[in-house]
Amino acid sequence: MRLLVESWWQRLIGLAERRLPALTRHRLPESLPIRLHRRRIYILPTRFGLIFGVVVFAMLLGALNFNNNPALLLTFLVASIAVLSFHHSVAQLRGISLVALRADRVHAGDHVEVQFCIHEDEGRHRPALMLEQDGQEVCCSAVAEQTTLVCVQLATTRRGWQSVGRWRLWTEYPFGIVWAWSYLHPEQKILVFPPPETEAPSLPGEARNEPGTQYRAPGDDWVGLRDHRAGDPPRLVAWRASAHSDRLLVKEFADPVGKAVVLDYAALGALAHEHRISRLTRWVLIAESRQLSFRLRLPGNDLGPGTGPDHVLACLRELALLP
Amino acid sequence: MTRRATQPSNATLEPSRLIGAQQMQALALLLGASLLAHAGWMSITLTLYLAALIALRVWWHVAMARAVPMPIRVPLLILTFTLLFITSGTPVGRDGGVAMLLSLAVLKLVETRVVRDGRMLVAAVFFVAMTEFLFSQGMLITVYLGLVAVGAFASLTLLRKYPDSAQSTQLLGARLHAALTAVGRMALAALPLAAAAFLFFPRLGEPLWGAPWRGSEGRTGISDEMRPGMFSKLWTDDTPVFRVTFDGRVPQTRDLYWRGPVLWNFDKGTWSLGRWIGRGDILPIRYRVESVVRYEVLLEATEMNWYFPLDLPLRPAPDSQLMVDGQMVTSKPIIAPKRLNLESATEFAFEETPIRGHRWAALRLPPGSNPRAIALAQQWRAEGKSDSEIIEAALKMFNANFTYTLEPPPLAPERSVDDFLFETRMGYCEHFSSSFAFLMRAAGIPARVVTGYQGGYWNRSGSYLVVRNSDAHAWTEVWLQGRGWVRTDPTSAVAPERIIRGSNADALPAAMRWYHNNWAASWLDRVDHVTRWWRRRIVDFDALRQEKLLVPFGVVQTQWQHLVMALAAAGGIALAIGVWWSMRGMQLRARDPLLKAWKQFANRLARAGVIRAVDEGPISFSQRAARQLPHIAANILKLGEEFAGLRYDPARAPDRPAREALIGNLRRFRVRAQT
Repeated sequence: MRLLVESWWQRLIGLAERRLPALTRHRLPESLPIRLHRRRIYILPTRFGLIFGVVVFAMLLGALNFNNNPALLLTFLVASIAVLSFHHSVAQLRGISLVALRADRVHAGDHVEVQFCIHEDEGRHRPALMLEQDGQEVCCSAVAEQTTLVCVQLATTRRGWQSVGRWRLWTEYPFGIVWAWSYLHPEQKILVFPPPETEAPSLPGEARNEPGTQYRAPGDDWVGLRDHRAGDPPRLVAWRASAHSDRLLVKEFADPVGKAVVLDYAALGALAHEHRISRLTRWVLIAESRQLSFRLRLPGNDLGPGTGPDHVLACLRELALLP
Repeated sequence: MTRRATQPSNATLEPSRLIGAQQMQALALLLGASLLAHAGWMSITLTLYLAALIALRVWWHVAMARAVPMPIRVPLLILTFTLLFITSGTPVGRDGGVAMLLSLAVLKLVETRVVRDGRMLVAAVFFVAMTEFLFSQGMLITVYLGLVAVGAFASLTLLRKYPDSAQSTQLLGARLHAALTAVGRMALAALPLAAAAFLFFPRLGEPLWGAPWRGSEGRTGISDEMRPGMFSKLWTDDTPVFRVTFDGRVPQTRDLYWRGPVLWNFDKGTWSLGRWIGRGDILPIRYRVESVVRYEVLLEATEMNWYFPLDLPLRPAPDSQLMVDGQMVTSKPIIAPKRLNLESATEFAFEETPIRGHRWAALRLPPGSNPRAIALAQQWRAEGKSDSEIIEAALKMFNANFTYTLEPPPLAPERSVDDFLFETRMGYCEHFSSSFAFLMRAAGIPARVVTGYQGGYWNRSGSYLVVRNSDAHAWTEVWLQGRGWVRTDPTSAVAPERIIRGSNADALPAAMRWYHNNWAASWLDRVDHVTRWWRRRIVDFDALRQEKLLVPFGVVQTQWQHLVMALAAAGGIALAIGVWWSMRGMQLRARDPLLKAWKQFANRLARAGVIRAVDEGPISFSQRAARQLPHIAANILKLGEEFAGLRYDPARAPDRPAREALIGNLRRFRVRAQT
C-alpha cells in the first residue's frame, strides 16, 4: 500500500517537473554562490502546526459562539503571532548564501567531510537551521555577518567527480508550527580518488637516494653551482658566488634519476583496469609516505618523476579521472 | 571570519527527543500560570492539589531523571478524578468542564517525556487559558492571559530537538528572559493584526450551540430570597454590579431605587418570591411624563435572573419579562455582561385597583409566628388608627428606639421579628424591611418586600453611576386604598443618611472609609472609568457596532463580504507593519562600526584590484594585498593584523581605545598610487 502511494507520488512529482519547470527549477544544480531568496523558499505547516491550527480553530468557534470578545481577542492574538511567525521562518532562510564547498582528500569507499560555507550578510542571527539529506541532518546556526562552516559526512562509492547532491536547508524556528525549506544543489563537485588496494605488493624497483645518484635537470633539489650557459634564466644566476669568482655561476637544480621508481600502468598487464588503478594508487600513497621521487606512466600521460604534495595530487587526480 | 558547526564533534548539539530539565521547568511554570488564572473560582483544594502535582512533577524530573512509571501514574489518575468529582461535580457544565480540562492538562504534564508531548501540552494551554473568559471578562485578566499566551509561545521556542548551542549552558531564567523578550516583541508586532481581525472578523448572528452550563454557582449578590444575615456578606463586597449612564436628567439620590426581586412569602424569617405572579407587558401604573428617565445600564454577569431597572420600569428590556409586581425577569441566567437601554418613571401610582389575589397574598402570615409583633400590630389597629397612622406609628417606633448597624446580633429564624422588635433593636435594611412588612401584614395592611440596590457611586471622571454589591438594599411596599403600592423604606426612618448618601456613608467603620479621601477617590474613579471603557468598547462589541465601523467608508448595509474585504485590507497593512517592525528588531542593534570600517577598507582594496574572497580571513587577505601592493604593504599588514586581533581575540575585544584608533585608521586608509 505504502509502495503504491510512493510510486504514485513519484509519478506526480515527475509530471510536475515536466509540466511546471518553474516549480522545480531549483532542484537542478547551480553554480556557487547560491543565495536564498524568497521565491525559492517553501513553507508548510508541521504536524504540530496542524494540531495547533485545530486548537486555534476551536478557540475561534467557542469565542464566536458565546460572542465572548476578550476570548476572541486572545484567539486573534495567538493566531496573529502564529501568522507573524510564518514570516519569521521564511526570513530565517532568506538572504543566506552558500558561498563555497570544501572537502578533504578522499578515496572511494571512505566518508568525506564536506564543509558548506554558509554566509550571512543581513545582520541577523539565525539559530536552528537544519541541513539535511537522506536522513543525515546537521543543526547549525548562522552568525550575523559571518561565514559559518557546516560539516556534513558524505559517503563515496567510486572514483571521479562526485556531486554532493541536493541538500535541504530547513528550519522550524521559532515555534515549530511551520517549517520553511529551500534546496542547496551546488554544481561544484568533489574529486574522489581511486580506492587504494589493501594488500598491494611493494614498490617496483624500489630504491633510495644514495651517494652517486644521477640527477636530471631541471628539478627541485639544489645540486650545486655550474658555469653559466647561454639561455640560462637570469633568476638562476648566483650573484654573490659569481662576485667572488671570475666566472658567472648559476645555481643548478635537479631531480635524482638513476633508480627512480616508475609506476607503470602498462606493466600491470595481468590485472583488470580498475585493479591496476587501485594498485597504482596504493603505490603513489606509499611513495608519498616515504617521500620518494616517482614517475607515473598512464595511457597517454606521463607524470614525473617528482616528489612532494603537488606531484602526488596531480598523480592521484589523473588516476581518478582515468576513463 | 568563520565558525564551525559539526555534527559529531560538538556535544551540545546532540539531538534529543527527550524533554530536558529546563524545558520541564518552563512547562511547569506555564501550566502554573494558567492554573493561577483559574484560581479565583476553582475550589481551593483542587487548585492546591494541581499546583502540588506540578511541583512534584518537576521534582521528579530533577531527582529521578526518568519518566513517571505507570504504577504511579494510574493511582494519580484515579486520585485526580476522585478529587475532581468531589470538588467540582460532573464535568458537564462550565465549572466541572473547565476543572476537568485543567486537571487533564496537569496529568499530561505528569506523563510528558518527549518534546512532542510538551508541544501538545502547550497547545492545550492556549485553550485552557481561554476558558477563563467564561468566568470573567475583565481587562486585567485579559492582559494576564495575553501574557500567558506569550509565555506559551516562548516555551515553544525552547521545545526543540536541538538545543541552541549558545544557550544550552545558560540558566533557565536567562533563556526564558531571552525567549520572552523575543516573543513579547512579536506579540506587540502582532497586536495590530489581532486588532484588525477583532474589528472586522464577521460575528455569528446566532450561536451554533447553547450555553454549556447552568448559572448560579455561589456568586455573591442579590438572590431570590432574603434570609437573615444574607446581606451582611454583601457589605464588604465592592464588586460593581452595573454602571448607569443617564440620558438627560439624573434623578436625585433618594429616588435611586434599583428594583430587583419582589418577595411575597414569609416563613421562618425568610422572605421568598411569589411564584404565581403573572407577567404584564404594561404595568398597571399611571406616571408623570416629566419624571421619565432614560438611561443605559452596563450589567455584569450576575448569573441571576434579574435586571435592576430604576423604580419603576415602563417596559421590559429585550430577553426579559416584566412581572405585574414590577420585577424584570430574564428567561436565562445572565451569564455574560449585558448592555440595556431602559426607561423608568420616578413618580407614579402603581396598581391603584388591586389585582385579584394580590391583596390576599400580601396579607398572608404563617400561623403562630412572632406573637408579640402580631399583638403590637393588632393593638395599633384596636386603637382605631388608620392605615397611614399605623405606618406612621411603626416608623416612629423605629426612629425612636432602633439603631442602624451592619453588625447586629444574630436572630433565631422562628422568632426573628419578635427578637428584633423587642430585644436587640439593632440591624440594617434587611431587618427593618422584614419586620416592617410583618407588622403591616399583622395590622391588615398588604405589604411586600422589594430587594435590589439603592443609590450608587457617582464617578465624576466619567459622569456615570457605579452600583456595587455593597449598595444592596431591601425596602417595603404597602398597598393603600386609592394610592396603590407605596414604597416605604423603614431604614430611612432610622438612618436617613443611608438613603441620601449611600450605604457606606454612615454605618461602616472609619477604617473602611479610606477611599473617600480625595486623591484616592479620584484615582479609583479613573480606574473604574477605564474598566467601563473596556466594558463598553471591547466586551460589548457586537455585530451592530461592527456595522457602524464601515459607515465612514460609504458602506450603508454591511454584508459579510464587506467585512472580509475590510479584514483583508486592514489585516494586510497591519501584518506588513508587524513583519517590518519585528524584523527590524532582530537585526543587530547597530552594526559593528569596526566591521563597517573593515568593509570600507576591503572595498578600497577591491578598487585597487585586490578583491577579497568571501571565505578569506583578514590575515590571509591582507597578506595577499601586501604582496600585490608592495609600496603600502606594511600599512596593510598592520591593519589586517590589528583587525584580526581586536575582532577575534576575546582578550583584546574590550580594548575600546584601540578599537577607536583602528576604526579611524581603517577609515583613513587610501590606496596611494605608486610613485
